[in-house]
Amino acid sequence: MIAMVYEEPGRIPRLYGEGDLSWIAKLVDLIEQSVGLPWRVLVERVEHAPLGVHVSHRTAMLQAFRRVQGGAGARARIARQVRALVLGPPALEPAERAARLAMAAARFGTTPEDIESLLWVDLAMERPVVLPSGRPAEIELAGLANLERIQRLVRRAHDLQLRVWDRANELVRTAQRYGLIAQIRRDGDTTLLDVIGPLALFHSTMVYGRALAALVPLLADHPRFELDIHSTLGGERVDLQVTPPVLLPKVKVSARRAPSIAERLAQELLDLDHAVEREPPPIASGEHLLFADLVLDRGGTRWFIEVVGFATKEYLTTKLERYRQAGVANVVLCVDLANAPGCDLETQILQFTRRVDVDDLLAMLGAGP
Amino acid sequence: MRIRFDRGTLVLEAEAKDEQPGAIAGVAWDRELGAWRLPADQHASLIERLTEANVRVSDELRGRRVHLDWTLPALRWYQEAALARWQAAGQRGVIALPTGAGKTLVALTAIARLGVAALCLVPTRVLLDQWAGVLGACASQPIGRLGDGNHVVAPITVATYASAVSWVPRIGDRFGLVIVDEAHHVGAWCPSEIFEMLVAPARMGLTATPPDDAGGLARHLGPVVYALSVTDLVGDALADYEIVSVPIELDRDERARYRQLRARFAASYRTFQRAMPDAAWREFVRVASQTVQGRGALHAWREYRALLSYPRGKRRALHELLAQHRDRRTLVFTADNATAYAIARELLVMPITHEIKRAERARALAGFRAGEYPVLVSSQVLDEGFDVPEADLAIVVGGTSSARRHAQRIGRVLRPRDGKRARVYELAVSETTEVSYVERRRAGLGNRPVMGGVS
Repeated sequence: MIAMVYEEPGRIPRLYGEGDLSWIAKLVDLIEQSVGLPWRVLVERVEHAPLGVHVSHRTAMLQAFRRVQGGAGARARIARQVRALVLGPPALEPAERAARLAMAAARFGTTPEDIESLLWVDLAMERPVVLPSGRPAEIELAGLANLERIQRLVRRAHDLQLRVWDRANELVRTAQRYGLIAQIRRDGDTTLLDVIGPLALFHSTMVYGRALAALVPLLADHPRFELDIHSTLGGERVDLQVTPPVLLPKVKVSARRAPSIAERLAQELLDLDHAVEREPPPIASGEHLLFADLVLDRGGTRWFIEVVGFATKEYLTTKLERYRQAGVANVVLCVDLANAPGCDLETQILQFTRRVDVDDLLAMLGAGP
Repeated sequence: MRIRFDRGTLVLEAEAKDEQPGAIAGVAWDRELGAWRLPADQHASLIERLTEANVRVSDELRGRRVHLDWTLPALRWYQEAALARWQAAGQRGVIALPTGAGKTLVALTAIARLGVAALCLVPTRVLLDQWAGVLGACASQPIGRLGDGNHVVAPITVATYASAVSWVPRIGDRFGLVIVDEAHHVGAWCPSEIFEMLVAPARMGLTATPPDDAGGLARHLGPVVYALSVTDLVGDALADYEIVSVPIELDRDERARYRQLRARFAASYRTFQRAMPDAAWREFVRVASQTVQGRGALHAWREYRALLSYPRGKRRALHELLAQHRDRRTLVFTADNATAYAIARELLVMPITHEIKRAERARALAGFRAGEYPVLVSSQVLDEGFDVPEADLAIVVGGTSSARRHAQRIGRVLRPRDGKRARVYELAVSETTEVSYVERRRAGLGNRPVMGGVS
């Protein structure tokens, strides 16, 4: 027997494109055929189906399908309620078992068969495969799998560069809201974000990695970009460049996003009747751009306030120097103590934990630069 | 020389011209801070070395002595002996006592006698609750908790391994004693880095099953200073028990399928072993997963293990045993979660797995104590940290060849109670690989006689 060698996954993750949609369609067929069966059966079927791709690609697509399904919280609540009602001493006789399921079915106004499936609906491999919104689109699964693969690499990055041709402000503001350590500059008709990765930070790497990964979905709305990721996987250096066309899922904008620290600070200042300008235009400092979060007018003096999430001492010193070069002396950097250890510079830094204290800020401005 | 604690290390700064921190063995230069650093666990030996060299030391590390009133029961003979050996070993070392023998009380007495702040590290949230509960009942001050959503640090603090990883860089200088429960996890589940970031000179490991290779454990906590087996304490500090071996026959179709699957796997594995005699199992999996033939072999291996985990014979035996012992609190142990769920689904009993969250698990354990759930089924979660003296029957439907895990499982039904005689049924499919698994794991129980099978 001649062994057939599938493509072995390399260190550089392969992103999925139009050429993958045919085998993904076969995989979705298997999903449809497994509706009502436990997930472990689907996993087994997918693993052994003649799809002609390595197991890692099959797994990636099943993970994407899990993300399509969602609803884990609601499932967990229902399953807990049903288990509390049904489970107890061992039901050794079939009649005893049937009676217990029937009693629960009557209580929930459903059938014993439904109760059986609801019992384990929150368990990863035991819950039944369902398609509440019909057959998932192959292109959607490919996009979600790509997103997961890029985000995984970003979470293990030393640094990354993101070049965008338009609508850069939105990306920069998002990077700021997440507190990323980024240098931003104009380069011809493009804006370049130079972001340090979690592996170069040495502290809070997981939290920072998650924050950095949150930038990736925003790229779906950009027709032209270049994302260069320099990362380490399994002890080896891995570089990946992502450029359009790349399948990524459409961004779902949440209407209930919690206000950022800067937004809360601005609101508190407004509540105290201070004149505040939110998200002022970027300030050019040579080729670099500076994005203050707000400008506070105090006695005719305009103070630029920037909230910094993650930081190193060098990053803060450079940032202050760039403000100075841009001719902006009245600037305060509010620095999160938890994410910027050792950043105790003497001037123009207001340290905070969780939220910026308005009184501390006003006291600092009273003292002058 | 100035010594201070910063992010899990000691920072050494010269205070006089002739002081040279860079000359101290083991230091590393931190370019960002512009200072010399040394792992925090070197604190005691550093002070000793500097004192010998007549260097004046400004030690900024926090005081670690605390004055608490303790209400503790008297130690039993072996607990007192264990503590004495640990004291004699320089207040460092691992105490190996069987599950249910009262290791926690040894640790509490050590904290009380030393009179220092202590950090207790535990693997799970269940154990976090148990330790905090016991400490709270015996000590005169509130107990700190780190883990499971708790962020309170106190002179006596209990932390899960996972929380300790993120907290110790900040609080590693506050304790004089560190206790590690289930210490055989040190170096794996419990990362070694935790111990390098702790200043505490006194260290105690607690385990029922010290690992064969205790090198990592010895480096961070000290050697095993006292050890007793289950056999040493049965009938004294532990409930008496008996093991009943239950041989299981496969049905005709199952036997044919087992032989077919086993042959398919063995053919590939033998070929691989001939080509790479020194390769590990992991290497076989890597190579096999790249070819259709290899993937078929791995599939056959998984299939026959799944078949052995819960064939019809085990199902019949389990039903019979549960029917025979309706009045007993029973723990059913399986080889994997899928089997635990299969049994739970079939008999409508409560499974305890990692997927059953904390609140529901706590309700299930309370229900087990109260008799509402007289049977619990689990593959791994109940192996450690389950303290219910009411449990008196264990049915081992499946497991690995690990003697350590088996001893932990058996220990769950050995917590003493008046007049208790525990029983362990061990189901094994005859003429299969499972028989050798059972033989290997029994080694962890000493020379305990095994009763013949039940029909």
